[in-house]
Amino acid sequence: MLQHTGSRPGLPNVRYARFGGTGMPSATVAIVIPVYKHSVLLTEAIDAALAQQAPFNIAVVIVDDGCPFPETGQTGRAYALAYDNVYYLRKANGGLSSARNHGIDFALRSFSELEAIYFLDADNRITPSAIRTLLEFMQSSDGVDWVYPNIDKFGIEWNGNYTAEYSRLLHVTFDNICEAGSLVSRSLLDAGVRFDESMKSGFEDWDFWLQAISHGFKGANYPFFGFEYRQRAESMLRDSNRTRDSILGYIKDKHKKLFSTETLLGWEHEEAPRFVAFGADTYLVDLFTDPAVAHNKRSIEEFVKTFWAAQAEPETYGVPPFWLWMSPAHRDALKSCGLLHNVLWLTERLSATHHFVAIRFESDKDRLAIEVNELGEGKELAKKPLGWMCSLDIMKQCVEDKSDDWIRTLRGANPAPKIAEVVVRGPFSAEDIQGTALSATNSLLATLGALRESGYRHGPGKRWIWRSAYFPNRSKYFELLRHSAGASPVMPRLAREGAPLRVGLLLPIATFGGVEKVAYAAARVLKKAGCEVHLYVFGKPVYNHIADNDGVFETINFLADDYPLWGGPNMFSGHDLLMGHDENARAEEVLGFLSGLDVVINNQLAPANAIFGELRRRGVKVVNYVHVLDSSELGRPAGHPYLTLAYEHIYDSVLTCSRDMAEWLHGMGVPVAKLLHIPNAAGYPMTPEDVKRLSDTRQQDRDGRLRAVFLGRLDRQKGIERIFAAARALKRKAVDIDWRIVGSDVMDDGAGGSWKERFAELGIRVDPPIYDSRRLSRLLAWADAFVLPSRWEGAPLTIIEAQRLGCVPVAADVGAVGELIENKVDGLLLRSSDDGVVTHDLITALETLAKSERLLRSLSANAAQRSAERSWDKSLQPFLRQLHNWFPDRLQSIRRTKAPVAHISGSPETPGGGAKAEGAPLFQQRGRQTSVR
Amino acid sequence: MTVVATQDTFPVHNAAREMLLLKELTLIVVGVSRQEIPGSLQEAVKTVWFEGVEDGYALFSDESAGRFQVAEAPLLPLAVIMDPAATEAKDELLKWLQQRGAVQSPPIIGWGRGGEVEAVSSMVGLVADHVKSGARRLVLSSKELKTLRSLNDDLQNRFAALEAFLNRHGLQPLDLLFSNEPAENPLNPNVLASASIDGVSQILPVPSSGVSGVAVHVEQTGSRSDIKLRAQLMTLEDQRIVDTWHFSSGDLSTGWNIFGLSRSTAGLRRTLEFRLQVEETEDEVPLLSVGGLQPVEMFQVRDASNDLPVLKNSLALQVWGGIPGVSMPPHANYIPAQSQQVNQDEGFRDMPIAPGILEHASLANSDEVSFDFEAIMPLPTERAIGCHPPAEGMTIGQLPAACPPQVIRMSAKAFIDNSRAADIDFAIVVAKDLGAAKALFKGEREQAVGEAFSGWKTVSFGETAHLSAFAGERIGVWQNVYFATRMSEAGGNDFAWAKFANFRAVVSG
Repeated sequence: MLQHTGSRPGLPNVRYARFGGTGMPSATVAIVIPVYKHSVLLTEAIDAALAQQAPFNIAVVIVDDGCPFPETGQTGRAYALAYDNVYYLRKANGGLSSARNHGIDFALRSFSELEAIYFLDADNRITPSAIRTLLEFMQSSDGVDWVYPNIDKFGIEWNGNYTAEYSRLLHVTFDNICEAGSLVSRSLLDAGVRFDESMKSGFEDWDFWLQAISHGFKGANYPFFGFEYRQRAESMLRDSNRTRDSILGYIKDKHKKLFSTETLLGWEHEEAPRFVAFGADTYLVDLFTDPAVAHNKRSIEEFVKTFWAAQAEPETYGVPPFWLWMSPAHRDALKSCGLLHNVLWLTERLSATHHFVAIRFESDKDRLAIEVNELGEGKELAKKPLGWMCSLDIMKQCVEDKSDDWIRTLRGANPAPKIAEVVVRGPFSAEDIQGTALSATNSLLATLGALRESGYRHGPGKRWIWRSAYFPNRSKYFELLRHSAGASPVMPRLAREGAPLRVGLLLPIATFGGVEKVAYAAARVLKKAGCEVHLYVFGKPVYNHIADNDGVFETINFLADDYPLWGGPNMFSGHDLLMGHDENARAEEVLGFLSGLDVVINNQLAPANAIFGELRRRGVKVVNYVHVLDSSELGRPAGHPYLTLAYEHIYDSVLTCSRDMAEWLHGMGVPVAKLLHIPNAAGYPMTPEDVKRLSDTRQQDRDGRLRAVFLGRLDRQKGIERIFAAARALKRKAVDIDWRIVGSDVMDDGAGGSWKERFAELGIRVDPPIYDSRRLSRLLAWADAFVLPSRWEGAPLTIIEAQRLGCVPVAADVGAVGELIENKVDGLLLRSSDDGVVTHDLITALETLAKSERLLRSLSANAAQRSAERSWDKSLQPFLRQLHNWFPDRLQSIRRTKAPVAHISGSPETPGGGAKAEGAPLFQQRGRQTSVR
Repeated sequence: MTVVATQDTFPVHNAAREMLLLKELTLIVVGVSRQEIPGSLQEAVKTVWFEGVEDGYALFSDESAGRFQVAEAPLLPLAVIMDPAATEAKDELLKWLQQRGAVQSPPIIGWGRGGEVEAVSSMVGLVADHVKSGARRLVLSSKELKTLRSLNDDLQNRFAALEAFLNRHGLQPLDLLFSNEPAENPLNPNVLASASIDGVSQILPVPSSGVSGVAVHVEQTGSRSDIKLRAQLMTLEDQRIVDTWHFSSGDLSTGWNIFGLSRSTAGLRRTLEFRLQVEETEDEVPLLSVGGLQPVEMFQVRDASNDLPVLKNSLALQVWGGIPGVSMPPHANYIPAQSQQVNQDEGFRDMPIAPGILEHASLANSDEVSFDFEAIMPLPTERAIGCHPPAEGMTIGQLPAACPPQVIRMSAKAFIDNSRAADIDFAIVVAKDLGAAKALFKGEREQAVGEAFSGWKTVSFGETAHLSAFAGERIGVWQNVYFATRMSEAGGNDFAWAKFANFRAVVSG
């Protein structure tokens, strides 16, 4: 039974907190009024609370936050004595947050039937119907835990429209869109959400809502709330805005997870999807940021309606800012190649500078590639596109255009709009490439027709919401994300369910070089360990297909933007380099490209170092994989190890392929805790059976000659002229050797022309490079010796691959070659000296092997045995343990892996700060490894 | 994070007793046994015994020695009565109160054997102080109220004077704030018939402040004129009914029907909702026009019972605005609000035809007169209408249904706005249609019941003529106002910038 106010004439609508049988007062809603110095205005707030017309009990809790003005207490006490449902609490001054919390705690412990609390500041008011309406709205809305108002200010009058579907993305990145004067459910408060009492300069309400979001609660706006905000020329809020940056810094730091790009991207997908995809064969449109994740679908009718609603009320309604016309089958084809996200990212980027982006597929079984063509100036659309993308702005212009002559030229080969054509090459089937019954172009024109001819177009056409716009355009929330992430565009890829660790391997190019092979090998191990591995190619947008990598990469991503692979305006130890603020660092673009990763492994991609600091600040672990110390023309050591020194501060870990490199880096200033030695293994996998079967073929069809092979670029680094000189000398000495020279013929001025021609003079044929691992294995199984008289090297994979098949390496003792070959045990080392010495040693070595079959067989057997001990699984264990240390909950499979038996020499420290048993050894001590420097 | 006091840490019975201390004057006893405090004193004021402080809570006991914890300071401790020896406990109590922000400590009264009368006297003194303090505050409040009343009277008088001035000079700017025109070819089902018994509702696209009237467009009035309807204008933020209209279907006419408010709305801006309801179940309800498709659901015409859209359109509507607080001049088809009808007094009322209505002026005899410019030209900024005479014959303009029922006199001002113009004759007529008006302008017959004719007045440049058309007999229907010009001497109508202004009607009742 409600108590009515018959005994209190003049206040006919007040319901009192009721004292039940237990003597406990009852209230369904408590209105908490914190007060400090608003002694006189307080009565308006209390009267507004008492004037509530509601069929339930409402308690009014005045919290006097130690106000120094006596009349605050007098007023509060007077109301508390006069009205059964008014409570006056006095506390020592602690700030607004503390006062509200005091009121919350009092209400929660005093009113067992409490369903919600409303926070009414002492200088504000609410209309008599507000609490009843709001509670009814909250009770009838699923998943709504607080209800917030439009802002209707009096004093300095202003009415702000906050009516829009609640968006966490907006709330976190734009402003505090929820006034403290909101109705808050008990469940939210029971979860422990409270006002931060350390925040005394304002925005404590913003923090309160962010806490609520962190707990999974959601708010909703009620458009006819009845909240009246007193705006005077000066207020606490104005003070807060003066110190907004510092308060925001605190909030961001406190709610890092909410501000992370990953979180914001997820909200974008749910609340303001970035893309709409029109499939030619369905009346539904897909709305998504990440197409691979479950997303909303809408009927075309509904979409058209929203489009026109967005034209009239842009801050309340929105449609995706980027429109894609591509059939689901074609999207699936891109997804199966791992290119879908990349193509969306790329076309979004191109949409900023082109009216339309055409997308076309070409079948290519050997590679994945992306080609971006600018149409115009003689270049035309070669074939009909399978997809189109454009921005909403372009679409709006087309809709408003009186004629559609301009847009209809998309049907021809020379469209009038500015077009970029994206050609995607990959192993597409004929069916993949086949067009749909309704082409993408016709689908686009049909969409345009649906918009132009819609009855909604001729509807009101002007704004009906009378409150002033305050929110940004809802179709532009992607810009909030970009701004918050400092990235543009942001890769539209969400974290997968179950949150496997996402590792990005960064490469300058993706051909068949040693750096790529190591990266691919690492990728295979990481994939096996449960990581989600993504490949990023910054240079030429081509990935040469390698069967061993099938299924390894979740996605493949090409920057496709003429990215400079070296250089910069700054100089470090004789090396040009970029810093984050340099324009060429393209910080926003690269950060957007790499967004969504937990770990990046940089594989000799120099310019990307410039933005790693920002990535690391966002919690991404940055790993640098160093392979080789290069040499300049004049013999100065140079290359990526020096860049590693320049950027050492931003690396969480540095992987080296050799002990030698680790020692060098340590000597140059890299802390040992950051260094992980990952011994190289063969660049591609082979089963022991295949190794044996192929090795056994070596003795077949022999003619008595020693078989020697060289694999690699025919250039100065590899010492090709040394091979030439040795081959010529051996021929003169009548040591008959069966040569195979395999590799790219690099035009070398110093060599006086083509090496192919020069070797032909000696009767030696030069074959083109071999990329197929089976052909490579056959060649190495054929050869007795693999020669590599290089001027500099890291730890060449080919030596290990040759050893695996019993092919004896004969190599210059440079870089970490000495870590791979024990001289005269499992290979022959050539002294690292001048050309004369190396050539002499090479001649001697080959002559010796040619003459001593016994030695050859012994070295061959030892080499095979040594190589068999190497594996990437084993080598990468330290790194996997490091990952586990960083992400103990994300890399489950590593938990069960025991720490290796091998231990450290030289240093008691272990990377990652872990104990010896947990950490990885920097230098794995093996009997046959020696330092050669 | 603040620790939440849960039911476990703060038992329910504690909360209930704490509540009592927050609702009453309290006498706190320190160090004096229950037996020593007279029962009559305990009955006069809520009395509790301070037992100490534990974990930040004060421990009290009541008259039956039941102990309970308290987190909040008592609302109004009348006094602390203490055994003079119990200073330690008293200090602990005062410290606890101080930690809760108490600015002033409660008065301390010693209670010793034989000193009871002095103690009670002190308490009576305290009560007397409270009474005096309350009286002082009451006096202060009364003074402040008197000041506010004077200010309010002053504002009322000033406002009334201003309102009278505006009325006298026809200055109420009646502006069309928003118009959602009827769609040209809508599939227009009958929304009133489709809606439930609660009728339809339509949220308006303008804030409440200054709204004078809401017009809805009727496509067909229906064959019956006796269907009872009710319209309401509400503010959604406070669920307040701004005005109500009870009317019959016969009061509606095809086209725009203005529901005029008693007074233009004033105060804080709120969202308005217009509701229209057929009061009895009827089949032949009027057919309301709708605008184009409305993409924003909130603004689609809705069923008032469940707030769900009835159609994907908004009602065709107009919102008229004026100075907040000022009554709106009527205009046909004008339906006054209920409150306005109730407050009508007997007597004559002088009502200006608002400039917004003048904008509806149009050429009536286009079959006889044509120019390569608009012969009838509303001039909103001048609150006038241009009426260019032909070289021969007359130009007749019309203000459809601008003359209220019970009209006694329709008047206007006539002048020429170009010094090179020849003399022009001006006249006005109140009549039901053009045929009747023409007959009066041409002098073919006398005015009939309800009609009014000013007669022709010749005006030269620089002169102003006051035209007054008196109705012979009052009738209760809205009629058209016709105004006409002709050259005093045929020919030479160049520069004949003839203008009418200040149309006013004097009505009875």
